Amino acid sequence: MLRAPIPEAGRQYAVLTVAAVLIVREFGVFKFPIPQNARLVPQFVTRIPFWGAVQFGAEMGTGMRTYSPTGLPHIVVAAIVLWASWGEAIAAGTGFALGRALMLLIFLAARNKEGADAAFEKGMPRLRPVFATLLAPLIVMLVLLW
Amino acid sequence: MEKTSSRFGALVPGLAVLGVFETASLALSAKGYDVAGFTWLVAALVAAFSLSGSV
Repeated sequence: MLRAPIPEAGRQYAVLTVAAVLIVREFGVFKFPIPQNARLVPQFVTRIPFWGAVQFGAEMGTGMRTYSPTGLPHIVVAAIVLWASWGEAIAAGTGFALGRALMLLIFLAARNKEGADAAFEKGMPRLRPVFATLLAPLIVMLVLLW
Repeated sequence: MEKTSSRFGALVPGLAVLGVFETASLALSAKGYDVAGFTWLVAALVAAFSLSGSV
């Protein structure tokens, strides 16, 4: 429905514009807030048997109730809404789940948990330009090639 | 002064996974294969892993 009134070239232009602005933001050129819930998952969910864990996992896993240190997921959301097919959206969802799980797997495998924790806390912000550089060619390919 | 290895060491496996997936996507695409679905997966993988420092 969202796509219906927008011609293909307009959607292409919109995705590339959103991507360009947010990728440049990752390099610290622009500073502006991005839409996010910016709330912590409340502690009481841990006291709810079974569904507490489900709620916690869903809210943390999707990033819908957390603070977002990056605008890169917003680029992917814009690209999915304006460009992806249903199958491609499912592929992106799978990739997102893998990306969220990757952090936990690394943390579980780490011998030095405190060191791993510190690396995620202090190292990740410094890698924002790296992630932006990795995402940029993929978005260009997705929107211009296929 | 904090060592670079201690600051980034635990992140190396994640970066390696991203690098392998990204290289595969770009290489297969360059060879003419239609890897659109896989590329969507890799794009979301990169975006999701970049959230890893969030609380």
